[in-house]
Amino acid sequence: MLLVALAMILAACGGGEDKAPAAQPKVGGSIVLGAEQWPDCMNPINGCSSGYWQAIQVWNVLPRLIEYDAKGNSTASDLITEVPSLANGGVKEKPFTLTYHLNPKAVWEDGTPITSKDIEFTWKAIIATPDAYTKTGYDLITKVDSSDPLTAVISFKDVFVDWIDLFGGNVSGVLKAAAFKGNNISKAYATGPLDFSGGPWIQQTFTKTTSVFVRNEKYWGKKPYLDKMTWVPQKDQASEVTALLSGEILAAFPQPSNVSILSQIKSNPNAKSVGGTGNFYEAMWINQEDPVMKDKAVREAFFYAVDREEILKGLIHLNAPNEKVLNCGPFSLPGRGPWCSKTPWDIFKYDPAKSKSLLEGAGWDCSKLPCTKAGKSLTVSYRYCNGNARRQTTFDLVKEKVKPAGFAFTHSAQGNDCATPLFDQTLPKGGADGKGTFQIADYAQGPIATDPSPTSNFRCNAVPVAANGYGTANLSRYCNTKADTLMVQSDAAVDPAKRLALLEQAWDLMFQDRVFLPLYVLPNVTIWRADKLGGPVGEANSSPYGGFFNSPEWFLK
Amino acid sequence: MLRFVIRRVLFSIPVIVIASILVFIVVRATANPTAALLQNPRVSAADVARVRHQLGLDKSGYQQYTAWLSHFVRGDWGESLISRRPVGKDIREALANSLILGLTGVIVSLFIGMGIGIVSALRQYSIFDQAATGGAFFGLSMPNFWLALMLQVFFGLYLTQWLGLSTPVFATFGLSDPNLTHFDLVDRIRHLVLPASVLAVQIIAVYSRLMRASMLEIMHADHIRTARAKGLSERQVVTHHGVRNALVPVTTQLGLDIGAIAGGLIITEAVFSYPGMGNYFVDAMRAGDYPQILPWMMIVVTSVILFNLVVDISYAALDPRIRYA
Repeated sequence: MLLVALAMILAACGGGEDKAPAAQPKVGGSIVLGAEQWPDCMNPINGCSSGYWQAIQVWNVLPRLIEYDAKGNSTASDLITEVPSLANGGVKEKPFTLTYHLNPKAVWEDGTPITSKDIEFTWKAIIATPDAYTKTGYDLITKVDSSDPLTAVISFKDVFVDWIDLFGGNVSGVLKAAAFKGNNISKAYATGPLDFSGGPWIQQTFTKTTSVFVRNEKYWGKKPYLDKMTWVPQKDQASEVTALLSGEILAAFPQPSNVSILSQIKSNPNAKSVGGTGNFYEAMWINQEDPVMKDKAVREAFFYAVDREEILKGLIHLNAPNEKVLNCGPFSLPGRGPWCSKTPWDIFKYDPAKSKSLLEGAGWDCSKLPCTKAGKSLTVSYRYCNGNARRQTTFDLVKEKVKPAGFAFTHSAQGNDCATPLFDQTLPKGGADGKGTFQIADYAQGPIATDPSPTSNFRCNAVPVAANGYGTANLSRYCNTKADTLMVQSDAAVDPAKRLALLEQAWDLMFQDRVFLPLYVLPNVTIWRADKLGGPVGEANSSPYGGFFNSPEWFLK
Repeated sequence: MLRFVIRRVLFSIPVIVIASILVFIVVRATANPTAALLQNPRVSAADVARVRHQLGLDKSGYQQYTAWLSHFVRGDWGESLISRRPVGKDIREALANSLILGLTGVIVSLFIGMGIGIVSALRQYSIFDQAATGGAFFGLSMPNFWLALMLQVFFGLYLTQWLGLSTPVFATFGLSDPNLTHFDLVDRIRHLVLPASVLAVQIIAVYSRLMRASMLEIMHADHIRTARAKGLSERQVVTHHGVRNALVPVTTQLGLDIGAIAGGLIITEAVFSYPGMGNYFVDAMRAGDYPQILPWMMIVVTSVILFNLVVDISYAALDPRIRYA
């Protein structure tokens, strides 16, 4: 009896089943990561900065005023005390002014304080650098008051609703004034690393073959556990996966195509992968001025002819199993801020019978397929980036299913890559009439973070024509003056609630006009060696900053 | 001979200029450095127009080409449109890397391929000959991207596992260990083995077939019968009279191969992330960065012309009957 009692007492003191202690972060060590694209240089303003993979590296070192959390919601970075708003007086509407209060602990890698003078310099550098990738928003700034080192008051000549992405967001950051000579920084950092830092890492080396980051001991926020991380180019995806499985690299952020990266990783018990939503808005865009597609009934029929679920199942779910069909207005993404609260496009489910009925109502003869009208068959040209496996697969998945709906697709591919000639000839000005040699085009817009402004892509005066050198972005050639007014008003609405209300009205008009068919958000995938790397690896997969963004919290096991 | 060389050099100048014009036209027609900007909804039309103007892309093709050529002939190879990096340094590094990989592969393969070809010819229809023939056809047919991936999988995964190693014996990508801060010959060789092997498989196949065919023709020639009749040993007949005369077609192929090395190995370098001229060209072409592409092309064309000239001169050394007016 005594022994039984003793055993019971001991069992109670044991606290139930054994649990393995959580891995304690080990400080120190270095890792190697694979990068699918490699920046030409580390200049944070000129053409080099237009590449997403340069930004992914730069975000390790440049401080930001406002940044995005893993779900894409804007939040105060370590550099500021709070996000300016109308409520706290940090945002004033008339005249449009932003006031940022800087963290007094914020210092550069050499211990000198980060001040409002650095913000002022950043603005001046972007304006003064002739080949700066974008000056949008910065060109509306009239003054940055840096009289108080810990306060930056930014005055604008006009409202700029995407102010979150100035000096931060997922576009840029704050530059260290002392690191540059003069305001024109076009040729700065053409070679070598971005050797100043207000972030958790300092870039120690940058060459064509390696980019080395070391811990920034002066960082006032969460310092990395690791001493060093080295990035190496891994441009071939199959080789990248092999390098991960062989242990030569410990993590990678591969861009999904039409093969399942998750399945390749699953076969190895030491490796893990996560696939989820990304930052690019993919849709089928319709040429509104095409003689066939300008008929709204044909466009609507087309929306019922495309099996979007099939595209998700056959393509996107290979790498993002939980992804849903995109039904948000452009360019909002589900779960990113309040913007995608309505999803009108979700009425469009694959319904070939409805498609045919709409076409017949519009005078098409669908007794034989594809439908015909006045002797012409409903064969539409479908364009996408030459050589892009994901879009080729999308085309293959839909081309048979549109047939019972009355359509037929043709496709021709030209050019040596995605951008040319698709974006500078085919879509904006192809054809004898300069109205684009496409009826439907499949491409993505992004990277998207918070500001979903569709104005530059859908406003009437943004239709590419000879007068504007075919250089504008309304490739769908959509023109609705009511939508125009709403978009312009939304761009002047500082209050997010007002802005959302105006945008939803503009999007509703685009939905009613059947301008485009949203497809999906391009997925992100992060893969890593779970036997060697500890910490929240993979949790930043859907971050606008890429899967490596939370690398300060990684550690070697 | 000197007049021959001078004439060839003079003829090569218009060839290089015409090639540069054609490449410029192709690049400008098929790639636009600013086209991708339109995919970003934050980039305005004004931004695109401004960048185009800054990069000189709004000038006519003639103006852009002549501006580039006038700098190039004065030794200024210009800057990248995108990064503003001086082109010369990057292209020199890429060329050096390609030469290391290419020459390693070619030289090793040359001796192996020639040896196989000689033995195959001397032992025609033997088991060795049959195996060498089969191996050569296999090597010639094998897509090099597939071979590259298979080597990576075998050496990177399977062999590493079987031997219980923490890292592969031969590296599956890159030029050197990213953690090294100094030059390490053993490490560089570790990184060269697999890409050089991909190159070697095809080169061995080609040279073995060439050498075999050439040796078979030579060994049945009258002068070989005469040499044997004079009492020379078989070894002397083969090495002094057979191989030397059989080298002419091999020399032609060698000249072409070495000349082509300057252009890089696009597929092999892509799979192994090897920073040579192939990767350099692909990256520059994708960006439409013609100040990077044109010097690349100049180097490639010059290299091909130069090594063809060397081959022609070497014919005279190999075969005294050949002389140039």
